[in-house]
Amino acid sequence: MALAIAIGAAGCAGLGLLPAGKQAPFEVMNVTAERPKPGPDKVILTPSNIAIIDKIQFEVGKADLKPISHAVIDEVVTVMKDNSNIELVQVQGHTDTDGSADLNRKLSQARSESVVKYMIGRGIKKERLEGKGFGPDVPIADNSIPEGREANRRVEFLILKQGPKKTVVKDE
Amino acid sequence: MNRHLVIALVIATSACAGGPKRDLRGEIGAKLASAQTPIQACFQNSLYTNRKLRGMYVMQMAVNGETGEFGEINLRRDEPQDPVLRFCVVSVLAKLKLDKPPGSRIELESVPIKFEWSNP
Repeated sequence: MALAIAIGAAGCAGLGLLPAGKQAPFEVMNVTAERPKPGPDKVILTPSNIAIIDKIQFEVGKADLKPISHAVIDEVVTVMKDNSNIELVQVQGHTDTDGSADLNRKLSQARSESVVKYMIGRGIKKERLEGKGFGPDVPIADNSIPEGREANRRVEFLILKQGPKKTVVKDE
Repeated sequence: MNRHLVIALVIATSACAGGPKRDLRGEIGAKLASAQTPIQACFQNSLYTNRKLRGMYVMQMAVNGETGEFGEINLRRDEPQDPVLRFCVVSVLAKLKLDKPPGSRIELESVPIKFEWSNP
């Protein structure tokens, strides 16, 4: 009897969502976005950040940059040099949830500062850079699966302050 | 037994005849549509680092009867296979909430989302 009342009430709600297996699918949500141009670029300047294709790698459990990652950071440096309107970039360090959250926050802070130091060494003014470690606090993927943890261990370059695009006008 | 069943159904349907009929499917559809812009941002951000991403999600979820919140979100079909996009979309959908609670739990069996490039 209760089941019958429930079925009746669901029908009353105008849902048409029950019973299971007979529900009509919702309308397809079409989501479109612009595909970046193909190319050898390891770095893409977006409105809010400098996105990197390769991962920045560090020695295990340390803040030391692996030399293999110098190339991608060099490209970030080039983007910042070519776009002087980018006034402040926050170099963010993130980890997965493995291990102590406090230690991860400290490690990600040290790693972000390590990247900042490298970029300053490559000619970016220190006023344009800020290092910040978030540890596991800002995940972008599910920490319960290996590929999710891999995605969460990352460095991001977030543009915090940006002026108008400067155009160079050359005299004839 | 059958007589009781018929009586119960009559009670249930007549009880709702008195009030305005609520179009919950329409409300849920509108709420899902409101997530399109943030989901698009998820897709755009993921495309920056993986320009091959495209395909279909078919999602399954439930709306809490007492709060109207969307939850228990699962992917029945995941063609893009990208953990970052998946996490971002699920996070967006998990923030949805109906303006008025539906009263009883509602299962949404098939919510399709198609990701496509605007400049193929």
